[in-house]
Amino acid sequence: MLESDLSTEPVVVQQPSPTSDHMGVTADVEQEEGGAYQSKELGLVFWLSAIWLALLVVATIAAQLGLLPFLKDPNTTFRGVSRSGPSAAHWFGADNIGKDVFSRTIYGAFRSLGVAFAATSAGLLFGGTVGLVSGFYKGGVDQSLSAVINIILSVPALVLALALVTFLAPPDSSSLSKTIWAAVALSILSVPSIARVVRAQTMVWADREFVLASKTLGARNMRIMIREILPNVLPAMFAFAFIGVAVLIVVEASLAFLGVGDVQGISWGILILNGRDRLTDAPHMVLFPSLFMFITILALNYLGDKVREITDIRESGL
Amino acid sequence: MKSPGLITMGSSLAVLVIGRLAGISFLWLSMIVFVILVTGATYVNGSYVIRRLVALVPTLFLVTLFTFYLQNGRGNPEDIAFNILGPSATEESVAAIVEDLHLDEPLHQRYLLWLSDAVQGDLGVSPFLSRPVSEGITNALPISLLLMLYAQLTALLIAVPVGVYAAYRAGGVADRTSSTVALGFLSIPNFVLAVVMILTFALGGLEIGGVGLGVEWFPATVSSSSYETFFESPWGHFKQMLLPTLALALGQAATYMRLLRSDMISTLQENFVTTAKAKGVSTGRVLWAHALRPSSFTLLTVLGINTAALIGGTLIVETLFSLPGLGTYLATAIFSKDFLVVQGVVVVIAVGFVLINFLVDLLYAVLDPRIRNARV
Repeated sequence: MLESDLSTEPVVVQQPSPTSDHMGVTADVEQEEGGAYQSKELGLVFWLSAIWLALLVVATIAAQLGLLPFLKDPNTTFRGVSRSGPSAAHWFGADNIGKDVFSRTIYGAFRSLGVAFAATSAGLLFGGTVGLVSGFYKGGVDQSLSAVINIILSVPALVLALALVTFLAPPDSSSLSKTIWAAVALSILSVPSIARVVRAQTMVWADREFVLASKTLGARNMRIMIREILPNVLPAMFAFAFIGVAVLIVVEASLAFLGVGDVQGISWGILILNGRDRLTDAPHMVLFPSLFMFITILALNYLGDKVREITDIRESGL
Repeated sequence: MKSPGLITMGSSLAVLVIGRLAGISFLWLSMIVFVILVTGATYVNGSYVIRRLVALVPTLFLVTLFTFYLQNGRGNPEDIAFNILGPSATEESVAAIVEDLHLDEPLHQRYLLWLSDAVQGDLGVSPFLSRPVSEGITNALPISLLLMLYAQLTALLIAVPVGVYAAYRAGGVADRTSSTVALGFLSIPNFVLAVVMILTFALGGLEIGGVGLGVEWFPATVSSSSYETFFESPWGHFKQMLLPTLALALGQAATYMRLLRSDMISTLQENFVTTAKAKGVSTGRVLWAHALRPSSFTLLTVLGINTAALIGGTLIVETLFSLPGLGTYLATAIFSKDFLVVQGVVVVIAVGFVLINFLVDLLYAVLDPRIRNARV
């Protein structure tokens, strides 16, 4: 118990924020006040991060739909340019067999981001539910759910993902089904940590007066959880989700690195893996996908940090 | 005894150092240190240790059951045997492995038989390497453990001074710079860092416009034949381990620094710090002797939790440098579909991690007087 209570502390805020320190906070009020904060607190880096992520997501989806004419086909081999560095024709250079690195980096983002976003969404949905229920009802429900969470968390994340993908995905399955299995494995990673965060937050909020007031008015538990507690827990959930996506992007790439799951397709991890043996003669094969990954993770971390700061009384008060 | 925590830590360190000098195997030493730490913690707060121990047993049971089930849960005995043996399976070898791994027994009995074998160090024989899995793990584990130890120590050596100073000058230039740099390092996946380091410090680096950026100071890859232990060649060992250690440590250091900084900032606002300052205690003493210890408890917990991330990172970084540790062993096994090895490595890592977390909890009890003296 002690361990779980303390361990969430550094990651998330346990103090309710002062902005919602009155009864019957609704999502709308929360947003308005968030707006008041925004003009004051958010800096240039915040918007740069947000813009980078938005651009990347749009470019990734547009690339999949074939809407970007300047992108080359990622699987076409161009003659006479293999291992050549950045040029006007091939912005990020070409790889060891003459494929366009820029196109591959943009196309590769789809799998890296898609798997991480899908897994985090699943984590928010299931982990959020588990955390809310276990933090709200406490007692036996909480103890049994927490036991399961603690056991899943007691296996190192990468090792768990690796074991799940290796043994769950049928050996001869298609590349798509392997990718889906990887997403499932990553969801299993993100559910317990999000559940833990939400549980700790729910416990704090469930003791507040406005929850008691709602109970006194005869509201059902379901309504209290969704209308009263959830809006207050959401900021912490999203702060954690940003960082969660960043972590999962790395885990997805790490799995590719260890040769688990589908290693034929295109993703940032696979691009870096393939370029690894060509470091001496074609370092751009590794550098550009790495750079994209780095900036994306940095942006996600920064956004997560900022969201946490805004909702955290301890640091924003300083 | 006045300071049981110090004595416990001191004696375990002494055992490690003297034991290594005496040439005792690393695994034996780990076991001895484990016992010392548990004894120390029991002396300090017995009921706490017993409660943690009670929680430890079901966790270990479920973790092993889970690993076992992943490998053995589906399919009939022959399917599992084919899976383990790979394409070169013959009728006789399938029959032999069914017999050897008790695949024809019911699942729960197989688990118990497997567990009793595993506890005695028998994790099966890899059909691809024709070597016992436990032998491969025993050879590889010390290298991985050493790498993790180096990484944690380096991370702390960087993080503690920087974190303390950043908290002391919170909001200042040094604080903002170190926070930004930390966020940057936090966002570089360790394999990217490793690749860039290999490129810059081992392969001679990039050439931009005829100007080379980089040097060839360190070996880019290490193999099981070229790996040197500290005792064979301290300098060679240092050269082989420095880049992998840094690739792992910088990210960890960033996490630790941020944590310590934020805890230290709140500690520095406590009344006892003001009192100490008012009494004329020097700044250095206030920071290092008064404020550091109460600020370091979260750090210690996260040190344990982060071991999980570090294990993952170690596996990856090892494969990049081809250091002959668990990661390389595992990656080779995954590549050749050697499932017995994968299962063995996974179970060893999972159990090891559970034990490490248990130890960190105990250390916590030894160091934090609020828990030390809690009577529950």
